[in-house]
Amino acid sequence: MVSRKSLLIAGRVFKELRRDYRTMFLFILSPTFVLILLKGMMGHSPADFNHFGLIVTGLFPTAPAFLFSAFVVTRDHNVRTLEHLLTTPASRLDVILGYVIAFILPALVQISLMLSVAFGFLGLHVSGKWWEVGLIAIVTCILGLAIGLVVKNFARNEFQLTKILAMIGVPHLMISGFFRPPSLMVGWMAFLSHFAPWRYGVELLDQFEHHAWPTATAWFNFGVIVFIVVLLFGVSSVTVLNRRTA
Amino acid sequence: MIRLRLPLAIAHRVLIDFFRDRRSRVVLIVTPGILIILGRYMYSSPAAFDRTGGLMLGVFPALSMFLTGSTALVHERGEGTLEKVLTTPASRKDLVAGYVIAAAVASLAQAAVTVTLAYEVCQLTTQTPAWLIYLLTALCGIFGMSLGICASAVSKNEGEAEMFLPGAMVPQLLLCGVFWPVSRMDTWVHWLADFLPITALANTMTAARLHFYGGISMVYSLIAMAGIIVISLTVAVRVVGTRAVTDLSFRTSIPRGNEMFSPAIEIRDLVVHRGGRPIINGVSVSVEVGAITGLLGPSGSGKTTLMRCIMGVQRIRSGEVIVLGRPAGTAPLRREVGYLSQPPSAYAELTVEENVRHFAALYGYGKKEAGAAIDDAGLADLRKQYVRTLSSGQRTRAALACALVGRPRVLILDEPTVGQDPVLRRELWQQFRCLADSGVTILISSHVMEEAARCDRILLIRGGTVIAHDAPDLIQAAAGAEGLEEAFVSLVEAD
Repeated sequence: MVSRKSLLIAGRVFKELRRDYRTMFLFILSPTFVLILLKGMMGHSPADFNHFGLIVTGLFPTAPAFLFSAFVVTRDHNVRTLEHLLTTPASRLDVILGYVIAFILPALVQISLMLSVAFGFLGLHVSGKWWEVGLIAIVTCILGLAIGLVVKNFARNEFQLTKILAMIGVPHLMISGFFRPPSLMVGWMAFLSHFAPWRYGVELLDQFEHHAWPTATAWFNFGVIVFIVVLLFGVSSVTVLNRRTA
Repeated sequence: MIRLRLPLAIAHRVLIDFFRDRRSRVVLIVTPGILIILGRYMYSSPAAFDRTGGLMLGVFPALSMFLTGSTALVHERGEGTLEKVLTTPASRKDLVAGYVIAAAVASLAQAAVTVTLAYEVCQLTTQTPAWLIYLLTALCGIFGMSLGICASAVSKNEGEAEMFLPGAMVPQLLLCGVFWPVSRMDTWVHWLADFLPITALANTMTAARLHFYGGISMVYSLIAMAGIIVISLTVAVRVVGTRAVTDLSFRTSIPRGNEMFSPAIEIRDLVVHRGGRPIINGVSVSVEVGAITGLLGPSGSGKTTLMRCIMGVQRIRSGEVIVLGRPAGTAPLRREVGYLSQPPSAYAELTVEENVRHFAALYGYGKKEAGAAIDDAGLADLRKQYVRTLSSGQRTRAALACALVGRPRVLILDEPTVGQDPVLRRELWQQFRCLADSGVTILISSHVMEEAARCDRILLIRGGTVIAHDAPDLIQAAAGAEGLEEAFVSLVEAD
């Protein structure tokens, strides 16, 4: 499964990421920074901080992973290195795994920093264990990567990507139930929320606010997220990673 | 008083760029509309929507202009079109003003949707009438754009901008009060928010919602906003683009150019460093009027850098470059010198004709001249095509048309014949000869030796120094070689 080729690709992608220290800096620090701001915003209502803090800890890693992967793959595409890569013996699975492995490394640093700040300094208090939240964060990070790969289909260059991000990201955030649970929304909007990948993330994390161990709802939502990730990788392997393009 | 012709031409082009792409139309018009609706129906009662809705109307134009403006500029810089505009009579001020005008127009277009939806569908209630809120959105758009232009200077490429912009925007969004009432935040966050530009905007919108015609608190926050706009525009005019000459003192010491110049281009002891390495190493050379000079040299020898120096877009370490009696890059000169960059730059999302007409407008010419330039570049059949769909040879010709349209007296052409077939190449050379006969000075870089033979003079450089500057046959004779190609090789390989 994890072949030598995918490790080679991962090594290359990681090297590129590492050179760009400014971006790396943002990638690793941004979730922690947002958490600290959130604590400041909601310092007067600990209950709200526990709720939103938990969701941010578990879900925020999607955002930088999404940005990063979309950018890296677009750049690869534009300078034709992706096309070149696909003419080598590397398979499409190798390429996807290569990207995933390359992103997991900085994501681990990012998530451990975020978890220690959230549970250590900011006093995030929930029933779920820190490592459970951490595992979810890793999965949502891979979700971001998967969305980033697929989004390349809608943009010719990085310039357009930024617009796509604003176009998809912000409305998605509003219907996902991050601000208000779907049960409190007006009917049609609650219905729409079923199509937002983050809805399942929010619901999954909500479970851990009051339960120490995964409940049936938690498992269901986790399953949906894994399904979405697999589906998105499938879509990108026949679109972005298609050998023959127009 | 700023002359409006150039800014308007630029604003026109920017607006085409903003609205041509389907994604941009959605991001600028549709998404904000959707967000207003979503923001309203997250709550069951319209009253709960008032606070967020009022803020959204101001935040949307600011954010979308910040985003589109800064990425558009970074994109332009990457494509080389930004530098190209700065080699035309348009100054940085004109460029910034053009972007600002475009921002105001785009914001009003966006607000036509969002404000209508907010008041008519989402039942937003404010103490200030809707028409004033509508006008405020244009100010918010200008606000976002002026910050965006500054931000564009910070990122090296679009990739960085893509990471940097959310990095700059997310904290501002969190703290502006759309998500969480500012009154319930910790004091240190308040303190932090006071330093964020968006606070001024949020205060304006809040005042407009709560007080009749905004009251005195709106006056204060409007002053704060205006201050931020003025400061960021001042910074923007300084940072946008890269045109820079290290030593500005001689600009004033040289009298206004007289009509008799010989030579047309005069370079003295020019030294340029890039990335800590000398690229041009003490070049002194003069190019006479009405001649075609071929700039030759192995790749990496500094040909493009030397041409950029003559255009006044390259930061130089020492020495001076005088073109037509004036220091390179000075304002009156930009009308006289045409430039084809390498790689060639043209707006990818505009058609060939729109590109050439835009540059024609910057030089003060119209449709007729643009058409002639397109014909001269051999693009008559392709005038309606988008530049992004052109082959690299066609793209070069599109950029060439943009350089020719200003009827320059000096033409700096960086590899104009790359990717052209022999027939086209011959036609282009006939034209260059025609132009030279009419008194235009042409400096051309090339790798093709048979082209070098067509030049009046050849300037051969290697490792940033001149190794030969003479007529082709004399160079050939001096090197004792059979043909020019052999002479080139033996001169480059000597010592």
